Amino acid sequence: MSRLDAEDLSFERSGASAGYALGPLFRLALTLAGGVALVLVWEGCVDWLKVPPYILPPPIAVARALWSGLDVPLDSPAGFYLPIASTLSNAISGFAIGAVLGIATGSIMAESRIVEIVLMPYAFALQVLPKVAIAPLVVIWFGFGDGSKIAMAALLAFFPLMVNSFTGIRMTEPERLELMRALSASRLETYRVVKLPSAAPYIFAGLDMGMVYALLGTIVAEFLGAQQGIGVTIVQAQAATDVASVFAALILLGVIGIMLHLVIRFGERRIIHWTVRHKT
Amino acid sequence: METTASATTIAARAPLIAATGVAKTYRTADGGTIEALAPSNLSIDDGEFVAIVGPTGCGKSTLMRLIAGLVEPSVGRLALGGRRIAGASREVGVAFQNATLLPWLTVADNVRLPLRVGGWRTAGNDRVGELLAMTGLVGFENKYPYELSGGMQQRVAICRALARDPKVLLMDEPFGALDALTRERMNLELQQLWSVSGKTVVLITHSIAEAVFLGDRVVVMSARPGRIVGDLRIDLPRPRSFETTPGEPTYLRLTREIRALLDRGASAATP
Repeated sequence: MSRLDAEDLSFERSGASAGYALGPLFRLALTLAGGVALVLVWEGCVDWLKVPPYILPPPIAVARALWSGLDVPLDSPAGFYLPIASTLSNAISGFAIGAVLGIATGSIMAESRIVEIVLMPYAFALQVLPKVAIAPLVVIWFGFGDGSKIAMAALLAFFPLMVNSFTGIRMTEPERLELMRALSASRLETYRVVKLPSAAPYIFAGLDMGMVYALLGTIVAEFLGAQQGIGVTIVQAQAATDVASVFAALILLGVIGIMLHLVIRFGERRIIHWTVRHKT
Repeated sequence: METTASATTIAARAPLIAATGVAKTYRTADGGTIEALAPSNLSIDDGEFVAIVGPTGCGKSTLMRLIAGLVEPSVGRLALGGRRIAGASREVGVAFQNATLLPWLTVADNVRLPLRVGGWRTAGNDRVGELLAMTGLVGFENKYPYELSGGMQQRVAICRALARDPKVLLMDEPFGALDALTRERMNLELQQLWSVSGKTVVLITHSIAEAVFLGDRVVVMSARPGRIVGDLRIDLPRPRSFETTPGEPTYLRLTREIRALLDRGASAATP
């Protein structure tokens, strides 16, 4: 497959910049104001339009649900901590497995024409397939325990990493490859010393996306049946029409997602400092 | 005019680099062929400073890649120290265009790179220190390339090319991206480096001034097909300086001669 196709496949982080030059404090204030406005509109909808609480609970009820789940001992079965621990550990384990396998497969595909020709069309086909549709199958194979959650997380994290590491390695500057040839470097040395670091910015973009996908995969598997996890908390609250708790769980998921994203961005800044510097 | 000196020097004594009837033809995607380098003869003696000058597309980069062992000649014989060039050799250090440093490695690690790969397993701390000292980079060991100016990056690239202590330093338009003043300073440093180290230097450039200022010989190339149209000995006293050398009658005459050769080559290629 040509380089162009590979580019179409890649998950690149778009360089978002809104042209305005606003101070960081002003921007923060604006963002917070937006959040406050959203809560006010929410409160207004509930109060004035008389939206019933089983459709949209008032913000205060959601805050109360959130607090009641957090203001408990760490090991309380009624709290959010056990589900968070379960979901997080499964998502991270699956992410690690999927990322390693994805980078390895992407690397082998980038290094070998034959492997690329054999695998690429199928990888592309699987890429288009909505992978959450595989979840019921994964539950049959791996059961209702942690196995199916880890497997779904790994499956979803795998693809962005495979595609991005493949693309990143193929995008290695030809001059750098020529340098390694002039030094009679072996294939493995060229991969390790030049290609993998050259692909690192792509791989980090893939890690960022893969982490979000891993969380998604875990939650979907939990919906299909599990002993615990945030997905289970959501389904149980839904069964009890405790919509405020559903909202609370969603807010927790959002916070977890942002924190995982920040961890990866932190790693990115530390490890691939040379590209981060160039961006500024 | 000494334009055909190469054929006679081969017989006189064994040159370090000898190209005999070397040509390179590339196949294009649509099945055609492009003659990047027409059959050429060139010999370079041990310790000589040879500048190769010519316009874009004259095959000077092809010639460099041939000497570096990065491509094989389509016809002809190409030898280094009497042995046919087959693949990259430890006796040739290459300084690439635009430095081509690895941005994730520090200055010291970039210079050390040739000592870590391709069958080399040395820490080479002494060698790296020595090279950095020679090029005035002491104190920058732990900086990253993006923290350096263009001229300093190019110095690091030269250090890296010299890491394995090769006989030949091959440079492909190393100073093309630098501003005029930095470029002059780098030229002086290169002259100094060459006279101290006793290396054979092959410098590819498209600056006539740079070629005449630095070279013992200037090989003039012309485009479509790439070929050698002149080989001039530069009899200017050393060390050369920017205060006196460009004013010398010999400098002016040689510069004019090279320009004439290049113009003739250009008009021959576009009838």
